[in-house]
Amino acid sequence: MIEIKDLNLTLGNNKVLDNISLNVEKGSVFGFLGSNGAGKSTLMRCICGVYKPTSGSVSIDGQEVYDNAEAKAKIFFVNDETIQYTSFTLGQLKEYYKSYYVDFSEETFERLLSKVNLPLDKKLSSFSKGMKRQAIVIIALACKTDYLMLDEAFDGLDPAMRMAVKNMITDELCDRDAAVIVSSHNIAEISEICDRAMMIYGGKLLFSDELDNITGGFCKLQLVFKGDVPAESSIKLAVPGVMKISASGSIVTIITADSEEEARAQAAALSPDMVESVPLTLEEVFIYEMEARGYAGFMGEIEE
Amino acid sequence: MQVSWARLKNNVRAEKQACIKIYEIFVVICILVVPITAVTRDSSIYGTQFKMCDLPGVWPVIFGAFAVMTMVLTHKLFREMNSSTDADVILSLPMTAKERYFSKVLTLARCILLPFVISMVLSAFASFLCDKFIFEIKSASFTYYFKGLFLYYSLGLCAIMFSAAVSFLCCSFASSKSVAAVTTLFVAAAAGLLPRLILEGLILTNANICFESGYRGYFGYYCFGLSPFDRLINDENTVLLTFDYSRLLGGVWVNILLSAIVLPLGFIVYKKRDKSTLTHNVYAKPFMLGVMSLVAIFAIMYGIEADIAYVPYAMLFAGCAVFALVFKRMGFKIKENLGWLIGYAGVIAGFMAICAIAYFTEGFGLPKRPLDLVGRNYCVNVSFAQKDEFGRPRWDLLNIEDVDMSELDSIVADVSEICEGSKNFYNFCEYSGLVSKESSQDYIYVTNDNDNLADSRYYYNPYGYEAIEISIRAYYTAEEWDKMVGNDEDLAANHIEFITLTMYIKNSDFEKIETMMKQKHRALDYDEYERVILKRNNPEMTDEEIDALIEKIHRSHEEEQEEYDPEEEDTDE
Repeated sequence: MIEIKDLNLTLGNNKVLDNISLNVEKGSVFGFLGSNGAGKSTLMRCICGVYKPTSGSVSIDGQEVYDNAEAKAKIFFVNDETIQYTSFTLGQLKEYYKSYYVDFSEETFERLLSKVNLPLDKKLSSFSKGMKRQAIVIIALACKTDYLMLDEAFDGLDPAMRMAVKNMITDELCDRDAAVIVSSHNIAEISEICDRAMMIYGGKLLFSDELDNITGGFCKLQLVFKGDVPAESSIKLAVPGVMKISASGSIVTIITADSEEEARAQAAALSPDMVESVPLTLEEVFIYEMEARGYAGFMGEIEE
Repeated sequence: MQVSWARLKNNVRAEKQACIKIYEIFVVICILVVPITAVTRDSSIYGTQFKMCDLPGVWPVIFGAFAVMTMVLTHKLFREMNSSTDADVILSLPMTAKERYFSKVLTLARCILLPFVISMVLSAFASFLCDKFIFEIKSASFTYYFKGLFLYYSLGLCAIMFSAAVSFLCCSFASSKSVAAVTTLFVAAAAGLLPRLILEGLILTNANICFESGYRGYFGYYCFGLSPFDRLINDENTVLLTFDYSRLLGGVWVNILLSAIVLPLGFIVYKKRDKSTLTHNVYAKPFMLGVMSLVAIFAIMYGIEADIAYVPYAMLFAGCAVFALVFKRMGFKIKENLGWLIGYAGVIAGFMAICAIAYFTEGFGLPKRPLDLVGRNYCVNVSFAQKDEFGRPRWDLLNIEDVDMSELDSIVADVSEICEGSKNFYNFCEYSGLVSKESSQDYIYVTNDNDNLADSRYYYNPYGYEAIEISIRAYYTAEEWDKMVGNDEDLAANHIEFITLTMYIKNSDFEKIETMMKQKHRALDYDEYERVILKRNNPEMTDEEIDALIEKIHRSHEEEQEEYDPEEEDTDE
């Protein structure tokens, strides 16, 4: 298990990670959510020992990670860049990583390579971004580590290849009790492959739970009115926990952090003709959390 | 944290693969060195003086190539210290900081030192076989080749280790490629040349001892920085090994050892660096202060040697200008960096204080004369360079032969007494700056022969002063020399020694010195000295024959003088 306790990281005068506590169990697929610059990648780098925590601890299976080769041997980090090792061929890159990871599986490498059909003897500089991603993912899987971290790993892949790589990861890891941590801006993708997720904003952990519990923690109701729709102030008064109100004709959609029963009871005070509960997606949770924190860039996208 | 040899080995293999291009280039250089050493001649290498081809100056180029390739490899090895993406990959690999750092040292050994050593052995064999079968030289044994090449390869190793030590240190501190590259070059130049400049500028010059000759026999001269290369480049045509093979070699190996001691020091900083120090490097400021101070001290010392009295002021100004232009643009505020500025000024002031101490204590009171270097008997030359009443260069010489050690001290003391008080104007650059003396570029004695001892630069007087020089050397006649040394270079190395003590004086009374020397120390002027030497070397000749020979020599000198008209040559140029 990866155990993060009261993790703080300060770079210069900036506190980029603020008191983060989190556990990643073996066998889980964990999604890291957050806006740009929220601290997802930084947290990942702390987990694999690239950053030394200012305070707090990060441990893998009970061993502190920073400057600990044994702990690091259990985790493989695929970062969001593809520019390193462009002077290597895939064969050379395989040999490079094979030197470090004692459990490297030639069989797995060959098997996965046959699925994507990448040339072994061509330099990575001649590969497309997607091909480089595939190459490093294959190597990461062949290293057979207990934990795999993929930072924006599906960027640059076409939809078919995204699916292929995702399948590759899930197929490989479901056979053994390994954990995957994925960060992506494509929340639909996260919700598709992850069973747990966390969200970080401004270096602070907003939530971390199973996906069902995350979406279940919010309630989205559609209220249909025959006459005029109530004013926003009236809705906020009736439903104090409301996070988002949007109106379209005679339909008002509200999202609250309350349970469905509580929200329905509160909304009844507005005398709607019909109240309907609508399932909430992870993407909506992400958007509303961002919106609630005034993440301007994201707001713009919503308005559009 | 325990170091795993398996991980070290794996990392060396992986790093070699990452640096494969640099490694291949270095191997090509090493391969090229083998035939070059086999067919070229260098008079300073034992046993290879009979070679057909002569490629003077090839060794400095080879040493330069070794040093540059070492620096390039080191910078590649430390890529995680200046590249964000490489930091992600390398710092997340299952290695501890200690394993990462020391595997870099081992990679250096694998990619640079191993091909280098193989190249040395092959060179010795190739040189030996080449002479035996191509040039058909029967007398030289393999030991000669190995011995000769061993010195040069030791110097090559010295270049590699020194550049590696500096590069490892700079790369451990710097957080960008450009800073690492620039600081490596500046630190290598400054730290490499400072020991020689300090020895010359602070000790020997203040002690009024000419650096150019005898002190190069000092073991310590070769122990630090790039001094051995300075010797090699300046004396490429002299028979270096016949002077002090063992001293030079011993010094060079101490030099190598010191670099090897410095090599792991970068780990102290390296182990504390994670990716955050790429953007927020807490070691940047002290490192830059260290580099700038070192370069400033180097510039001051260089200024002392080149008689540029205002260098200290210039360095202070340059430091502030760099701060104002570069650091301020990078967002540093003077108020926030007042400590840095004070530190820089403090280093310069501290060093100037050391210069002052050296000046007023006459080279820290050490060493007055390197008498221990000279053999059993002495020949003393007292030469006096000045200008005559028409402003033409004039050079007077007194010679005393078969001087005993006790008399030697007395001669130096007598000259010093007459020249007392004449020293207080030269060396201490701050002092020179304050008194605003202008530097004279005139040579007061010009010669066109290849005799190093008579070269005009030995008589360069910086401020229009006159120079008096006492050359002390082992004295042997030609017969004695042949009998004693013969053709054995090893034996020659133990006997050829000389030391020169130069005093820069003003308004000195050379006639007074001459009279005193003749009365007290059996000194002979140049004509008398010539007669004695000729008589000593030709005991069968009568006085008349000697006179005739002297007359003939003088005529020959006059004819040579007529043939060579420096003014005409200057005009032609």
